[in-house]
Amino acid sequence: MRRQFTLRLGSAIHLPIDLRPALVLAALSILLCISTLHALQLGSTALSMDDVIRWLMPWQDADAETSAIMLLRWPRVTVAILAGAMIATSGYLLQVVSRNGLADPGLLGISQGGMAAVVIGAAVFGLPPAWLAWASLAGGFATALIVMTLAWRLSSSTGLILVGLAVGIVLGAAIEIIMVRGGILQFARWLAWSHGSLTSVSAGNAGMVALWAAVLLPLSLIASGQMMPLLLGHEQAAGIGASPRRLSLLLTLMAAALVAPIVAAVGPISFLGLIAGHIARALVGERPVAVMPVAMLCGALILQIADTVGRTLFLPVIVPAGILVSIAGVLAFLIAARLSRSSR
Amino acid sequence: MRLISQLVLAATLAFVSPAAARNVTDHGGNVVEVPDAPQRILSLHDWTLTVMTRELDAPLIASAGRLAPDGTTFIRGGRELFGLNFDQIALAAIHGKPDLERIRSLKPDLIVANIGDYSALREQLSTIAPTLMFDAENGDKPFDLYRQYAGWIGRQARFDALKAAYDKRITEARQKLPKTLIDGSYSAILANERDGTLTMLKEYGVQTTVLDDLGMSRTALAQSVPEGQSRMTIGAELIGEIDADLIVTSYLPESGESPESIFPALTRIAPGYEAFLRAHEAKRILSFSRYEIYPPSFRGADIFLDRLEVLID
Repeated sequence: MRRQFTLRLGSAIHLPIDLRPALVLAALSILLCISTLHALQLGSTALSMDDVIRWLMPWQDADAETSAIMLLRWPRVTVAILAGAMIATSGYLLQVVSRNGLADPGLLGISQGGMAAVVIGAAVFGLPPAWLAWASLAGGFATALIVMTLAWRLSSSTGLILVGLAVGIVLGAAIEIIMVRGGILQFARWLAWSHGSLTSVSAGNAGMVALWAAVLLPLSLIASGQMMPLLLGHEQAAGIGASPRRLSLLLTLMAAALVAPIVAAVGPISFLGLIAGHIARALVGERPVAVMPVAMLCGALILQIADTVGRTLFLPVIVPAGILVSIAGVLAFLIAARLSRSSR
Repeated sequence: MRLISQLVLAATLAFVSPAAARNVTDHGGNVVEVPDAPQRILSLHDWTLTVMTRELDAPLIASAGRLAPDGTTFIRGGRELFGLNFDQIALAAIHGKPDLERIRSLKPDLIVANIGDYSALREQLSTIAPTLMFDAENGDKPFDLYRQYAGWIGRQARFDALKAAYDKRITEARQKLPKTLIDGSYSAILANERDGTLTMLKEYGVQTTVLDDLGMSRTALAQSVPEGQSRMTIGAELIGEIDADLIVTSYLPESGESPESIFPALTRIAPGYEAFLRAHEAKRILSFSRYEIYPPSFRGADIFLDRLEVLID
């Protein structure tokens, strides 16, 4: 039995709120605020927390030195938070649609679709950097559509994953072919980007990601209220009056849209979509309306901590956040596998 | 009051001499306003930009460097050619892993970066200082690129002096080296043991520059490298196509390679190559330290010519 309390707004509005998800959300929000302040404070140039807080207050004059440093720091901190939340949301949406806990934008070929579009756009057609985000969006959408079309007639829940894997492998091979044909500098550029680094994130990138996040994250929260029937399977969902196929298509397209601008801005971040959903379910259970916001906060927290650690702990070497998330993801899965085995 | 102060500032700026800066179009096609005589140059590519800046005697304050296996940092190419190390200039970044805050803290008045690694960072770097993007492998000849770069940083006169000395050295080398070699052909290659391929090099630092300037001709395969590119990967079955009077390659000392490493590498890539490469029969497959021959540098050209004269003797 769930413990609930009721939020009363006047005499007409009474909102029943589950206690556990509310507490988890509050705790994660506080953690995210603390880690954001530290992310803004830490770096090669030392800043005091007073400087950071003064800079955050628009009515107070921050000194020029702090403002100049923040010009380099705030875009990557912002993108780390938003990208983490968006990738986590994308991963969770795909896990629900495919009814497979291993689903992830990378696993369904959506990340590879965005990457292939960026590589083809830059290396073959010579697109300027400003267009690459749109190329990635087109690639991610196109791949999602192809995967959904090919998997349409497969009734198995793993069919989507298998088709996604196959499409991802084909796209990976296409990227390899283009790289082999290109020069060494082209390969170096690709290698740096493919690690998922936030180093090159600019204020423009942050604005672009924020725009997509402002539309897609609230839409995802609204959609989470319709996702419960999908957990039962397509036949049972149809039996209770839901439209599982149409909903799955919409959610998959939304998952592609969530991850495409991130691939264009920072490259692929593997594992994040997968582990954030798992952590969220472990914290608040299976109800999508509770899991979705918790997964967003988990993803934001993980990517932001990974980026802060990567740019401060190993100086003068900067470790891309994508690499640290992958390492953390593997460790988290080994621990999760160990725990689940010992609990059986 | 604020409006008045803004007007005063604008009026003051109007009296600042426009001769203090000029516009440069870099290899990325960006028009950048750079200081006429930069005083604090920060280089983000060691064995091209750092080497050229150092050779041109321009005020270099920091450079990107590499991590050695023992954890120390070094300037690839700069260390071998000029004994340059991080006691003399500051470390700007580890190659390929830039820290923008560190770069900013060094207060450069001009940043030079290679387009391959840093094009995505240009916007951010430009908030720190004027940033010029250099493309070492756009298909242009290395010394043409070097001349362009010297112009960017206002060191054209120094470049011309170095070039004149180099031209004289080339004339002397043509007298010393056998005419059969000078009139012959050459191939510049890299052996990629990892995937069993060869890289045919069209432009590769001073190695190809010196051989071209000596008057040697290129093989048909080298001439088929696409326009705008400086190299091409080929399969091992095309090894016969690389045959020439002289085959040159290079090795990385840092990876434990030596001038002899090319022979076992060729054996693994194309077993039996000895039977159909006349350069092998004439003992004219020569390997040089990549740190010395890749950078576009007159010092490197001198070293390459010295070694070539000894090896051909």
